[in-house]
Amino acid sequence: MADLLNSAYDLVLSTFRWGVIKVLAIGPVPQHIAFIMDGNRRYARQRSMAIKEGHTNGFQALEKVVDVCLKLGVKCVTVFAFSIENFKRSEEEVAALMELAETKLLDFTKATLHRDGVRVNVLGRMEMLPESVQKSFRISQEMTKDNFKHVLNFCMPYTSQDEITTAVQSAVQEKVCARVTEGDIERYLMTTLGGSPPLNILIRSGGAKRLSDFLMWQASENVQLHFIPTYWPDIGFWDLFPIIMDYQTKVWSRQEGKCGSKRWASVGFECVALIVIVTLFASLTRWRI
Amino acid sequence: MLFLLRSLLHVLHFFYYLLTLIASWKSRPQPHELSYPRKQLPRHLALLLASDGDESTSGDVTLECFLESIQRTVGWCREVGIRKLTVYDREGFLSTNIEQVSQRLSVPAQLPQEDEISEIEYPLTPPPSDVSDSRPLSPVNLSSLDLDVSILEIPAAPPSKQESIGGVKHRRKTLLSSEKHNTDEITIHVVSRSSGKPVVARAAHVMANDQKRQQRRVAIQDLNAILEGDRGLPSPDFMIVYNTSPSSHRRKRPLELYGFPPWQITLTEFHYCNEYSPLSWPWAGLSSRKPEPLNEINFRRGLDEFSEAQMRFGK
Repeated sequence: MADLLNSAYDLVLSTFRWGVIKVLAIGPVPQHIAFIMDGNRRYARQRSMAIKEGHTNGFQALEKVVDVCLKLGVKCVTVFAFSIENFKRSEEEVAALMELAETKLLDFTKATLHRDGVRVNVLGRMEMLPESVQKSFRISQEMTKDNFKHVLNFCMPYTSQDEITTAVQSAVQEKVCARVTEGDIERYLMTTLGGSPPLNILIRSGGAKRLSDFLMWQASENVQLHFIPTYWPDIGFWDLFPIIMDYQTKVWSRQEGKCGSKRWASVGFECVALIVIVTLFASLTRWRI
Repeated sequence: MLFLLRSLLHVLHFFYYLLTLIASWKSRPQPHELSYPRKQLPRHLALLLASDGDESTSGDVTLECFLESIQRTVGWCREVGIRKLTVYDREGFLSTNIEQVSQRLSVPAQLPQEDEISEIEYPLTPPPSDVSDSRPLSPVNLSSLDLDVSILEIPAAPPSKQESIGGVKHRRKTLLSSEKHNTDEITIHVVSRSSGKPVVARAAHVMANDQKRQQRRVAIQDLNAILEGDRGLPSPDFMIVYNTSPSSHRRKRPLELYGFPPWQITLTEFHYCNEYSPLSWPWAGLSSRKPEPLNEINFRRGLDEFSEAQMRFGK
């Protein structure tokens, strides 16, 4: 009986969540969201789990978040999976992360990403990874290279200063004895080369309030930064809900200057119409009973 | 169906707005005093001043608000012992009015001295053929590249007149640590958006036009040496982001960086002053429409947050 009730509760909750996502997707939705997936180890320590298990749960959270973003209509998701600095961690942890990356990303690509039209890009210094991981990443990228509906940028191993330096190098090589502009450097960023639209939102889980050498060029302008205390494996739709709401408020408030009173009039009309419809429906239903 | 979903969306936003209003009434704990012995303090603090959503206010009023914020911040930095400060505003109000900034800071607020002279170090005057996006370019080497960073050295405040009259040795021995910090000199970097991405582009342009350099690959250390060198902007370890516009205090606004130089924010901890209240609405009659400078509560709250931050450096 308890199991039945729990299942019913989960069903109601997931239906409600599905409904809220459908409603949010009607409004302005960010085209590109980036995530710093922080907190796997603290999550594991809190639950007396092995660190590797924390990272495994972290990958499951990644799958859940990507699913939510695709349902919302977000075109591009970028995730900070492994920093070049993370090679300083213990050999055991680095090996566990490499093993996870080698199997999990390919499984996710085959099960979900390719079916949903997501192109997978692995950004960073792939040559620093073990050959088996590189091979697995190449398969994921090759399988999805013709997909165009969505993009998943999997940054591993990556730092933003390395990305900017690489972009400067490419711009310098292209523009020998000619003018180099900001736009030239922007064109050669790894995210741009992967077909990503401009970044709109960057979210860091785990409580820290810093970028840790992630997407600094992209995030320094016209990007909303959110630092949430939730550990990454615990992240869910309701952590993203206020962030999406704030984004929509920002977009609408920018439009207010152009057609402010007209928009508020239409909002007012819609709210009144909705109340009238609901009242009529309730009255009719009561009458029929 | 679309109409129904759109209406539901607006109703959802209405209820979310009510929730944020209720959340804004929740009182936050008072931050510790400035003199509180915090676990760690930033060595280099950046103050990002924004006037987002404040198009109706004149540039002069905004500049005055920025100057007041900086003057207060310098006083607080002196008191806690922070000796390096960066001040940023996107549009460059501060950079283009650097004389006003230096005049405002030349006399310490706590120790007014009529004969004190502040040492102002202006950036090297670039040659007429300096690189810029709007003028024809000519070859310039990296050492004279215009980095658009103004550096002010606010000298150590001299001892007060009362201290110099009799009993000097005794008073100096018993000087409290906070009083000692009051006399430290402070280095201030004044930057704007043009000190960030455009400078990286200029450095890249110089490299592209340098025949000897073309064979060598650009390395992170190369860009670091230019952008964070003696004439550049070193990385701040802590940044306070503050929006002076009255409208920013009426509703919840997410944190943005307004074009701050991207290279230098690798490990910068951010503190966003995002207090807002419906009582700030003009119709509530409880607030003015003028921009508001940074207050001490926000500064202390930021220091408290920084003192609790855990740095792992990738490990």
